[in-house]
Amino acid sequence: MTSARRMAIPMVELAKATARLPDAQAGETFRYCPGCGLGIVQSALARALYRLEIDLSTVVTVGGSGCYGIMGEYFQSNHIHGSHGRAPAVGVGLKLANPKLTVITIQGDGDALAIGASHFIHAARRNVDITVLICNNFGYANTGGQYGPSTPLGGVTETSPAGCFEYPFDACQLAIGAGATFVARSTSYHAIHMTNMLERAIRHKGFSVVEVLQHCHVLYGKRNGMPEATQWLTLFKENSVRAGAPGGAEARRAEPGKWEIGVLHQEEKPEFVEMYFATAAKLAGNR
Amino acid sequence: MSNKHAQSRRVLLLGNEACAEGAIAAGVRFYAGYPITPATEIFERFAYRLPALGGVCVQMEDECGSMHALLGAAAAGQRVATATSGPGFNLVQEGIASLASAELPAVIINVQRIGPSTGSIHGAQMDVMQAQWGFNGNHQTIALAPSSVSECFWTTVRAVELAETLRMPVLVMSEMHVGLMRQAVELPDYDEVRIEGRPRPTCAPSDYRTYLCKRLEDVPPLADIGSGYRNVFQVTTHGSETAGGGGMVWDYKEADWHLRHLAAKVLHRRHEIEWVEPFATEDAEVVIVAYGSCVSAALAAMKAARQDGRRVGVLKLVSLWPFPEDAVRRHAAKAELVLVPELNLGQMVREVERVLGPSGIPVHPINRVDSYYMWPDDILGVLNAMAGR
Repeated sequence: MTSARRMAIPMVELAKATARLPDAQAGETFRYCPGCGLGIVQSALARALYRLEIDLSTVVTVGGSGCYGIMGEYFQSNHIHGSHGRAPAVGVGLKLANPKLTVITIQGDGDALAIGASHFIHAARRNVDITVLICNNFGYANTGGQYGPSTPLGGVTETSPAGCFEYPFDACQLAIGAGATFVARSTSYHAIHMTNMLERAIRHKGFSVVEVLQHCHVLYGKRNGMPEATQWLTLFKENSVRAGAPGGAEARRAEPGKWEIGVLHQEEKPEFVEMYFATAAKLAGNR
Repeated sequence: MSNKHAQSRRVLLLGNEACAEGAIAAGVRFYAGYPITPATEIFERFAYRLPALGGVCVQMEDECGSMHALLGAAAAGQRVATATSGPGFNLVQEGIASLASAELPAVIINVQRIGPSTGSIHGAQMDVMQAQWGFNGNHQTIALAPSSVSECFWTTVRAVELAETLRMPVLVMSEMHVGLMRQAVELPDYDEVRIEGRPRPTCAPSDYRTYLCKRLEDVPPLADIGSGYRNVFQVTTHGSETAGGGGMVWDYKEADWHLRHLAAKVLHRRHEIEWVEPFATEDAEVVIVAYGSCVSAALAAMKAARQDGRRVGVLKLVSLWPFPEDAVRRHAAKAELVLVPELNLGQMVREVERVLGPSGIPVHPINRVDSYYMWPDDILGVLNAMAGR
């Protein structure tokens, strides 16, 4: 169990323990827009890592192309700023090469569900022991605001000026269908809840996914009548239904515009790297 | 005392199997791949061999996945390789670019087949320009082309060494005609195959930066992820110092350093990388510049022409990139004619023309793209026609 002291660490101490903050004197700044949900995700991940008491030199974050791609560099752990969508494949290589590493991919919705969908579902199918954090801001933001595989029907973006006419993916259902053994959802409003989900996901042995609905008021919000971060936080607060909550969560979840947060799926299943080496030992023994 | 000759073995191998054996002899213990003809025997050999050696051989969802699994494994300290062909070589380009930019070592074996696209599974040398120019951006590639089963082994050994010591992806440009050729080869005792590994940091972990080096041509020392040294690998444009420490600043000086560094670390060592073999070029009036499967046809043509009293020589290129321009200049210096046989419509001949152009030596391409080998008669026919016979 995590100690109460670790649960309640003040932000300044948390930063000292986990972060590599921008050096203002060298002209470095955080690269997120003011009010971006990514800052909340970053601090939740920092808290989760701190609570887990892992040696940060054995932690690797893998990012791709997107606003979230830089996030891993703000930690004292290792970071691979890789290509767009390939992070789960990098994770498979890292874990097979050194099973002692803790691998966390930091991905976006376009990154994990479009260009990297194949790597995402196949890593899930293998049940490789990595954690995939999907920062879902309902479209492509780093490129200026285009629609993607998670943009809601009707969502206005630069490439869907009359509203998005494609059905979106449900990242969590996709992950469950593909074989992920821990799947959770949170939002940028639920900072403490998100921390808990990340902590449990990293602790889970097997392929774990945390989808965070993360506001992008600057690009997606501006074009869809919600230009303030606070409007999004309110939206997330009022429309999230706790998974397994008493009082008809099932029915409320079915309402349009509602989504379930919490652990949506969890199971124990032999893990990929362990299965690989167990099988390899058989081959080695037979020769 | 180990006795090299007592430990060596004479075995019958496919070129593809020899590539896998060369990689294993050079310490490759991680392979990620995707099945594709005519490269699959390489994958199958690794799948059979690596688990018994405590290594890893894994099949990924596509070639793009293979390349990025290599990237992860290389960052964690493994010597890594993959093999592909034709359409798969298109898909690995992104990974080659990623490894090049992030400065991580890997060996990519391309058993070339006819293209474009799915093309056919028959032999060709049509990807030799793609080896250098197939990915985006500006990066000096290293590519070696084996012409025999034995060379499949030794080019792969050398490719691993160059990849490790220079922290970059290195290509072995095999062909279906070479990869599926079966020859008896003398394999060394693998314990005797000593190659240099990646440069290691000697500084304290706190002073370590993933890309820290003094001169453009230096290779930054590389620590494994998980070894206590903090790494930040970037496929994004980065500088030596600032970015390596957590790259949050982008500026034009860093971009300039990054691009020039990737080229300089290779070109500074181009003479160590250069691998050619001359045959009777000293007095040659006609020099045939050949690589890969065309080498045996060139040697047969040379032999026939010499018997006919004509002074013909052959320059075999094993290293294709960086193009061994000094060797070509040197060995063709006295030539009145240079022939370049290739199983494509004229690719490396452009490099030969670029190098010999100022000297005025005529360069003539000989091309076959019908999936057959280059035949000695194809070369002799041109030789006779050019010599006015």
